[in-house]
Amino acid sequence: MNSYLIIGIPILIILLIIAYIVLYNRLNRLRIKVEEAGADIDVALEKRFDLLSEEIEAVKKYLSHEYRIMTDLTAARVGADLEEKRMAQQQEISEEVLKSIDQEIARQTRTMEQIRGKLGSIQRRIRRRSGMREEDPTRQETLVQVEERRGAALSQKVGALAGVHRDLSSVGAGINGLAEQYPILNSWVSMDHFQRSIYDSEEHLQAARRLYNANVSMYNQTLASIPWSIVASICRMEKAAFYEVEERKRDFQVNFD
Amino acid sequence: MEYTISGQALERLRKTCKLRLTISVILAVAVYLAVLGFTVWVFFLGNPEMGARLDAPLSEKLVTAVGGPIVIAVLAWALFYWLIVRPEYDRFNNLFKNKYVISTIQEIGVFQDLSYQPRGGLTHDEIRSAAVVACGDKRRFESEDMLSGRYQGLRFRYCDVSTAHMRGSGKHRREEILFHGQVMHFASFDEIKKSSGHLQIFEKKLASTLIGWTAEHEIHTENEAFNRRFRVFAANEHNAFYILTPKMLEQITQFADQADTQIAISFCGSSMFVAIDRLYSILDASFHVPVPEQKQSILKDVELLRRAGELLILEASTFHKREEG
Repeated sequence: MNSYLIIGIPILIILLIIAYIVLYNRLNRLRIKVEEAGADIDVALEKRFDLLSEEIEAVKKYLSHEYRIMTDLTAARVGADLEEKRMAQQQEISEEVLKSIDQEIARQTRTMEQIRGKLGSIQRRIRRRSGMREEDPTRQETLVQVEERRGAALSQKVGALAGVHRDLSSVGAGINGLAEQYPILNSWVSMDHFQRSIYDSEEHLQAARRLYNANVSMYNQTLASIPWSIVASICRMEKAAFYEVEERKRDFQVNFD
Repeated sequence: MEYTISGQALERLRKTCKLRLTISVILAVAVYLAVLGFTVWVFFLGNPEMGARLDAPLSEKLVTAVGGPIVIAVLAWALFYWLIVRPEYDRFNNLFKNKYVISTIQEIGVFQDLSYQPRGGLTHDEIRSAAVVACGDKRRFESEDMLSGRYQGLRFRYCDVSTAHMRGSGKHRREEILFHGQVMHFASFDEIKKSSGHLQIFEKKLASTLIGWTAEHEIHTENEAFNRRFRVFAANEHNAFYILTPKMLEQITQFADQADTQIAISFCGSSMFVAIDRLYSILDASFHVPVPEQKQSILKDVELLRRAGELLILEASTFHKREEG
């Protein structure tokens, strides 16, 4: 009987260790996938942000060019008062729209910079704490703290990115509004190209968001089911936050009347 | 002469085929009766001195006297069919396709630049690189009845494909059919999007041999009903979600409902391949149905192509602009 126990207990312990390693690795893989998908959103969002900035510059150039040509033409006509008045109104509207878009872009640039700064400091803190663990006697505790910090950073990042996503949508809507107001803009090949690019970047962003949420869903489901939940509670792994975009986008009023 | 055959002449040819089929059956029955007479003589009535086996066990007598003639008659019918019916049916089938396929499809007015090649088809390399179905051995690959053209501006190719490979070893080595059905190829599935790497969608089915090579990542979409019905593989996970928008998932499910058989879809670059696993070949004529009535079956065959273009491309893409005419 004793010999059975002597052989059985070590085997049981070895099996438990192997099971722990397998389960922990699986959870870790899922967590890394969630982080990767979070980075994917970052890339897609940045791409869209760059495109919008680029587009607004092009639209501004085009509008000033159009205004110059139209004013020159009107000046050459007899009884151009009415035309001049119309053009002045149109310029006023254009300037108003461009000003609000400019402000929005500037605000988003500041937000993006803040997010980058925040993420950078969080990552630096995580790296510092990870670097300390060789000397730290409470190594397990440090590891857990690193995990927690990493999870918190990801949630913070996802929350911030969701905000930027929501606000940038209004810039796209404003640009499309401008394109509708100026039919010639639509026929301009670059404008069409930009609209396609924006649509494509929107689709990439949606894909990144859905991939992130699918990975979070998988991770959270695994985390909540036995036996992974046991390993997760030992390692203090917590559920990841979903990327949620507020359905009601902030209104971007462009009044051309 | 062959391409300008009249409807009446084609109908006469169909009746000839049918008559030849009847003749082949009569000949097979005659063979059966002759062999049956011989076995009855050998086991029950003949003279042992002339080779009859009257002393054979009763079970052996019954099995040989009844089963033997049936096997021989079936083999004889297959031979008669191959010699008498098949050449005439092939001629009828080719004439039918040449006369009616293009003209019947053009009548509905939704396809443009139509071209039909009875001997044309997709190549083994194309199917292998599309990875829409298991491509099997090159020597056992067949593809025919190629219909190509444009639907609402979308360039397509549509043809029969059959793939197989050898399975087992030694005496147990045999040919296994992997896929038999139709494959559609659309040159562009979206005006803007392109698939970076393979994206494959296979409808789940028990004991299916349709799935061949698959991409690295198995994808689980947010649509649980879709996940239960389909398996998705992608070389790039982001690309899978980029192409498979919620709308696209719904459209694929709707298309699978309408196809009413196992389907597989593959995206690669700007191309989309759709495979439909079913036993019969498209556009083939039957000599059991009068020729004018068979035009309907041609329309039925191309209806699925139209639905694929409509559901998977035109309705699935929110940005796609339809090209009229």
